[in-house]
Amino acid sequence: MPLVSGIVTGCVYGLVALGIVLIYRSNRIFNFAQAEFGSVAAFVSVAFLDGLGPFPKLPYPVAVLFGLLAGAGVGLLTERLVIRPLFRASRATLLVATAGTALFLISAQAVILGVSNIHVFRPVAPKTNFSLFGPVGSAHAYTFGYTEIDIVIGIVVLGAVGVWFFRTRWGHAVFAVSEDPTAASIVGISTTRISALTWAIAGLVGAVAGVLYAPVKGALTPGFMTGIGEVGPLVFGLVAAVLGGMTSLPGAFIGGILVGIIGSFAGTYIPTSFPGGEQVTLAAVLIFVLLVRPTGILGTASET
Amino acid sequence: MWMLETSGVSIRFGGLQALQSVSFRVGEWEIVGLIGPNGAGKTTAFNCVSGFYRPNSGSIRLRGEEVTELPPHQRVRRGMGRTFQNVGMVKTSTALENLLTAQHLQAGYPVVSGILGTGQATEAEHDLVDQAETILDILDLSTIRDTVVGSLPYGQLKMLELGCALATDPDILLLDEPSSGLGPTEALDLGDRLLALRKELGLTLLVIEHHVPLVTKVCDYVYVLNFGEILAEGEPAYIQSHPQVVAAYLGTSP
Amino acid sequence: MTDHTATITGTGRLDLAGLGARFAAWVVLVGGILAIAGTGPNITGYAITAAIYVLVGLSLNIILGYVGQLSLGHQALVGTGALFAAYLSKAEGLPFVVDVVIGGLAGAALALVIGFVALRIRGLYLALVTLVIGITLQGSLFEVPALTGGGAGESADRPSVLLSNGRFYLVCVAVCVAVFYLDSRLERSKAGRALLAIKEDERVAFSFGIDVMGYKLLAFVLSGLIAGVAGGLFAFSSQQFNGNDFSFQLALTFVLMTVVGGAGSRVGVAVGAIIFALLHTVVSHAGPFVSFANLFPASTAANILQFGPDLIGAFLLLLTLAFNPGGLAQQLKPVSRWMAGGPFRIHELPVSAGARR
Repeated sequence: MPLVSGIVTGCVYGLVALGIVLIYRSNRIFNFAQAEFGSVAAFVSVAFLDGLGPFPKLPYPVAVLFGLLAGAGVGLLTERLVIRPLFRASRATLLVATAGTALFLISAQAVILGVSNIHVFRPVAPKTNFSLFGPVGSAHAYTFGYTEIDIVIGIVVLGAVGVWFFRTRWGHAVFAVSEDPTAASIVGISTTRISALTWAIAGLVGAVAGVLYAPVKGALTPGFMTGIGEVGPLVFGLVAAVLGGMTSLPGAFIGGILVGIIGSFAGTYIPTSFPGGEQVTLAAVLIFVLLVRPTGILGTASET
Repeated sequence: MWMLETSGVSIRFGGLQALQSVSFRVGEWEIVGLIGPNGAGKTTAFNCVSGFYRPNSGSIRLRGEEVTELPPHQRVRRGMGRTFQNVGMVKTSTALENLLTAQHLQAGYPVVSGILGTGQATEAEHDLVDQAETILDILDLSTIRDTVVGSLPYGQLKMLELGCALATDPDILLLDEPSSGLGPTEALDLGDRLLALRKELGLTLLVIEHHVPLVTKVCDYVYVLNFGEILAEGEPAYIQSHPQVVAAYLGTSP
Repeated sequence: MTDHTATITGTGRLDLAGLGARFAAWVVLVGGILAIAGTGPNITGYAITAAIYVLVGLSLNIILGYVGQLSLGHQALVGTGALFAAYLSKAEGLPFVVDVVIGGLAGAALALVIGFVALRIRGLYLALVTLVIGITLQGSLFEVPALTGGGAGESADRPSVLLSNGRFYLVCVAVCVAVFYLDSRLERSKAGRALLAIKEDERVAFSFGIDVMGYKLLAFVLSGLIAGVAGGLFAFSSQQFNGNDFSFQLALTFVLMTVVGGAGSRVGVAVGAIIFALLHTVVSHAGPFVSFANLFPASTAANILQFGPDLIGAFLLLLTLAFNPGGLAQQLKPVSRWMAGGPFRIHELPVSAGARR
């Protein structure tokens, strides 16, 4: 069913969009490396899952945890090594820097792992006995398996992040810095620490997206989250973020779901004799939103 | 027929009514002042007149022609020049290059000719350089011909900006606080210069100003803007003693 | 502009030594470029790629350097030129020159369409739109079987007179020189000044009577024209069109090389383009010297050869942004200015610094 699978992949796109909006709020740029946080996380997890090279073989949850930490770590490193030295640069320069970082990460993956080696990300659980629209095994049934656990995990993560942000002191600080860094520093918030924290969170959210998408993708290739030679979650996430309003976190996730559904329907119903139907649909959505309603679904007017 | 006429111009930004039914007229060869406390909406009015903002209602007419829908560069083409409050120049270029750029509409050769380097283009460029140097002479700025604008002192910067506005060959010039940053004597010198411009070039001027002696010396007619509305209008002497105007500036009740 | 060396010698006499040195430098440069044509198919093959990259760099420079907009979909313009050139050559049998020219026009037309849409969008969102449009084109137009001749890609055979790499290389160099010249003319003309004003401060440009939107579109069209021509040459250089060649990675490479070279400077961009084009060559020839096989396991060595250039390229970008934001153009400026007849001076003087880049 294109609708359900659209919602499933939409959760991943929503998470990517979440990371993008986080960085946009704090640095006013599009983080082109956002998806690669996920690729790195997925590859590190696989390394521990399969015991590749010097990595010891670890049980599933631990391997995934290491992957998430790796993703957060890459986010931190990017902030420290790329973003912070460029604090005086223009936004376009920073954007190019994140794009360069993405390329760097993709090439690093390719050099270390190679394109010819197939790394398959085992699903967290095989198909279960739980199904919708009919008993397991019947024609109309939609059986719940690992991909559907995505939905649950995605919503839980979003909820946890949201709650954390709205309730904790650190969360308030991140918001304050993103609204007005000068005012925030005047009241004693360390903008450098918050910046590092924001990027670590973005790295973590990106890592979750990568780890959730990997089993859907199956065979992992370097840069699979950014999408080499095909439209990857990065582009979907960017369009989703714009659709959601670029400054609204729940908007980003909702945008992701919508984009997932749209992409799914485009993939199913546009015949292959019209190549690139998915891309064209995405482009149309993006351009339409930017021309007709730049603030997206939930964004505020002052942010464009 | 008026050189410039605005009727009922209103514009709103979100919850703020920046201009409310603003109407004023500038006759040919007049020097009209637009004064008012900070935040009254004077620059907003300029932006509407010159095309950088589109008003929600009202009309703007240049020599009787309706220009409300035209983009800024089209208004420049029809003879409306302006300066900016925080000085609008190409900061990385030299004074000469700025004047050449400002003469864009006078360049007189198609773009393709410029790229191919035809004789027509080369000749036209020579003319532009000559005219630019003339303007520099008139304004006593020849010494800074090849200086990068970003490194100029404020006074010369403002004078150069005036030169660039003149280079667009305007019939009416909108000057946004031309005396800001100038000392008292320099401000009065500026007044002389403005009067000379009107006399020698046949210019019409609409000037936003805070400097009262300058306004009195130079303006034929004055409009007072307060909280987005025209509070009073008249000749400078009348305005100076108008109780509501005084109250608007000093904050006391009339 | 006064020649400072003449002033230093105290008279208006010609400075023969300086003139002689410059002449020698030019001879070496031009001679070197021409000599490459005689070095055999492999090296000239790399040189052809380098020349095409230079063209793309000059094309991207117009948008990024002159107007200050970021285009992340430039590979689509190049690809469109290649697509049309190959198709017209194979399906319609049109001669080489016509194919390349129409490839250029196709690029210009596409750029015009992209411009109409994208230029209504502010700031960084424009970059996003160009990215998405680029990917869309790669996935749609470049995959249409009728245009690409099936999965393997449309072939574009060179005319017999240009079969040798050396000759084809000289054609590419000639195109580069022509674009260099026309671009320098553009810069000095009213259009060049208009673009600079637009890049610096649009409202100032408007107040000078400049049709901002019109000139931005012009920049896009010129950029597309050059990119299309580069694409046409590319199709004939590899003698085939393959949609997969024009990926997002390539678009990124183009942007990176323009930034590393120094957006806004023809010479800088050209050097940046050559460096990135040659990264592949350098890495593969470094094999005997570095002996990757001994340092890394076998599979990694092969990967370094294939992806090392991208890695190095990205690293160069990050270095440039952190330490050399003006790009190599900053380092090259004293040399290029001297070659063009000016004085040799390492640092900028405050006066006349902004004149004649």
